[in-house]
Amino acid sequence: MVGQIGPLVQVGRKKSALAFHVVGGVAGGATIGVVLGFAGLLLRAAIGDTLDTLFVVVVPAALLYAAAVDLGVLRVRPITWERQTPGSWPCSLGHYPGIFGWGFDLGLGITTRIPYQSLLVLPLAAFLSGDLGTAVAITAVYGASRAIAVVAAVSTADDYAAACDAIQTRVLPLKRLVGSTALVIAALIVIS
Amino acid sequence: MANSARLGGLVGLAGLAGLAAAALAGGVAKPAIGALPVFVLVSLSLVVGLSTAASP
Repeated sequence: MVGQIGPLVQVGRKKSALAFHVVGGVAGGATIGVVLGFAGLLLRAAIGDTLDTLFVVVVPAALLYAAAVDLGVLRVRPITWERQTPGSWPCSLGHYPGIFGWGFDLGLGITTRIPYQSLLVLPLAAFLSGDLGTAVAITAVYGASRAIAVVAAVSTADDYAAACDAIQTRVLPLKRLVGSTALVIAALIVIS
Repeated sequence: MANSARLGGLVGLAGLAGLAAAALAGGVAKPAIGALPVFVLVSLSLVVGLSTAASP
């Protein structure tokens, strides 16, 4: 994304373009949060407080699986798909709508390639929380932080290709960081 | 150096905003699953989101 959005924001108003990307990320995250939150409310209406027990069992178990895969302990084929955000959107939709669309698509979290298995636990937890506010908080923060990470990289890079290379070299340490965080969070949910 | 400081500032702001969202969702709304799980899951969202800048 840094390699795609970086050169684009060299033309026109850079800050506006990056702001559109962040707003798109927040909107994408909030949208999926609302959908999952409502689905969770329906599930809570159907099974009641059993949902809280389900949450305490399923979410830590999913986090353990995700942490094991992200840390490289469990060597299985990761759950992912090949779809990527269409690079043509700024041409087909227009400059700012395209950049907004990229943010929205990435903010949804589950419509593009899954870089970390821990990411899959977020929509699962949002759904099983059975609470609209919690679901939106979990997914909107994901969408916002993913977009802000792109903005931070684009804002500070002079050479976007070099920035992409630099990020790619950190993928493995980042994967370990995410895996370790998932492990700690699984433990915190169990003991809470 | 200036770029690193700017990057750190942006990421720090994102972190603060995320933690504020977690505090709001976990503290004010009083979800059935408890405030701590909400707080830690929002923290995980923050970590995963900030770690995926390179992904398409």
